[in-house]
Amino acid sequence: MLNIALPKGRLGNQVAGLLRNCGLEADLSDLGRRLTVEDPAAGIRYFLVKPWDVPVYVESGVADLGATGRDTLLESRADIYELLDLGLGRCRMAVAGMPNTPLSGRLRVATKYPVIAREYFSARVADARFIKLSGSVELAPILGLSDVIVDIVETGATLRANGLEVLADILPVSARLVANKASCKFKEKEIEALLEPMAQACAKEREVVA
Amino acid sequence: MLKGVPNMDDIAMRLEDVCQGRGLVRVNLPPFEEYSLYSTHTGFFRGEPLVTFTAPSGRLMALKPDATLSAVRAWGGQRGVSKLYYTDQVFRLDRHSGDFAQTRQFGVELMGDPDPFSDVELVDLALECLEQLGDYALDMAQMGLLERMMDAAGLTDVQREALQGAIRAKSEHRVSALLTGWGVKEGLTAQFSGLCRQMGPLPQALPLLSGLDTPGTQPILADLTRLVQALGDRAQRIKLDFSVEGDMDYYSGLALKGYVAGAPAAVLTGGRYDRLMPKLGKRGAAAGFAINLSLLDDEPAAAQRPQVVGRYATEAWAEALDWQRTMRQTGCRARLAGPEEPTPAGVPVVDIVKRGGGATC
Repeated sequence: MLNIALPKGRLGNQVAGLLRNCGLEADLSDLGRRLTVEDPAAGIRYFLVKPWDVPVYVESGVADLGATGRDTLLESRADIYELLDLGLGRCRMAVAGMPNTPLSGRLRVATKYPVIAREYFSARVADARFIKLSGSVELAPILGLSDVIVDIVETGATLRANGLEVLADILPVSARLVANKASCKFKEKEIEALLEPMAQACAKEREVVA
Repeated sequence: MLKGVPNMDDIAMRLEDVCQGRGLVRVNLPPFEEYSLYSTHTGFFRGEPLVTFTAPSGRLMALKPDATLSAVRAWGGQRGVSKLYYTDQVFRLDRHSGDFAQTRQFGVELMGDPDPFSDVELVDLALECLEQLGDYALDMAQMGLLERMMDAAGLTDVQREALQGAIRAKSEHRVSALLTGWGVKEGLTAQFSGLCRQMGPLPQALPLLSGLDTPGTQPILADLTRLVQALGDRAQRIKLDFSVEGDMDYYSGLALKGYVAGAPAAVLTGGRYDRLMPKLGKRGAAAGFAINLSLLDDEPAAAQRPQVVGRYATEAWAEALDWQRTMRQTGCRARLAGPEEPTPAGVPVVDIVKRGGGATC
């Protein structure tokens, strides 16, 4: 049995759609309160977990595979394989703040991603201080909690609505198929059998977008 | 605990038997070292916090996060190759709990005069140790090969680290994007991308690399070929896999990762670490591996449950001890319980009122 951890919400549904395009019965649309669903014919069990927890489930070996955003993956520092760029949920990690805020000197940075933010600013700013927030990060510079924020930006609409703008791009973000390292040794055939059609489905999806 | 493996002590004994049978010498390492031993090798520990304390002399000490540095520091620099093994405790930060954790580690170190046979002996020993643990897989990378290719691509230190991170994650798309972004030639980019893929057993994977034309790679491939020839059929159990993590400040040649079915992460980590020797003021070459025994013992509660409970009648103590001795001789985990004592749910209970008790399990 191959165990796959999927993030709850929009990204999870998109990945389930991709799996269905590969011929799998990955219907997660009407689960009610259930958090697992099995496809016995394909030998696959899906778990629905919080997006931040996908790397934890995969690294611990409870899930053999998982789908998660690159932002979550980098922030978790999980020791897992990143086998495929699924191309879903494309956005970017960026520094944002009030227009013309200088990215130098002493800087207070509010973010949900302190690991990524620290890595970015460590080589650029002499004295950066980090404030970990859980949500509504855009409020921090408006209320004076921080000078800038580091967050994912999709269209920039929320930033603009709050009088903020992107000051610097950090990295592009999209969903990745990740795998437990030990599972890749002992369930190699099952994982390879899934990987090839998924890569093809991703390529097809990109063609449609292009 | 993994299927078929009794417990951590038994595993350690099996591994020690393997080493003793090959004439390796057991070393006892100190539980702590001066903090400076680790702070001067931050490349190795990547700035991980350590458990520190101040000795009465005022020196800052640290509980060992790894045994290799202690083994090298304590090595006397004897002629020939010193072949050592140890079973020890190490203390490192557990990333998930955010707290320090104690880990039991078994390790092998081969230190001394440079001898290409040390690689063969190390890999053969790693295979035999993994065989003691159940169904296993051994992955191998050659850090020298990767380094020659990075030299040819003219990568900076920062670029090398980023590229190694992508290869470690088997992220072919990231490797390709990085190298293309740095303007590396298409042919070399394709070769690096190929290193992310499954290459299969070593004997079949080596020919796939024969086309590498990067200067300095052919002697390394010749060494790998000799390794395959020396190991014979056992080489089929090794997979060439460049995602094997190897800090280039530390590993200079072979890098190994061993997995055992049921354990969620690599249980064996090792390779050739010649570069550490001069850093610690030692001569010669060195290679070794460590097995994380704690990873093999993550279900102790179920495995330690008794298989049968003998409830002894008031003052039937001699009969109780006789019964337990008999049970143990048959390999059964048998617990004794008093007349009123609660017993674990689901475990059969035998009343011991007369000699023998009639119990089997």
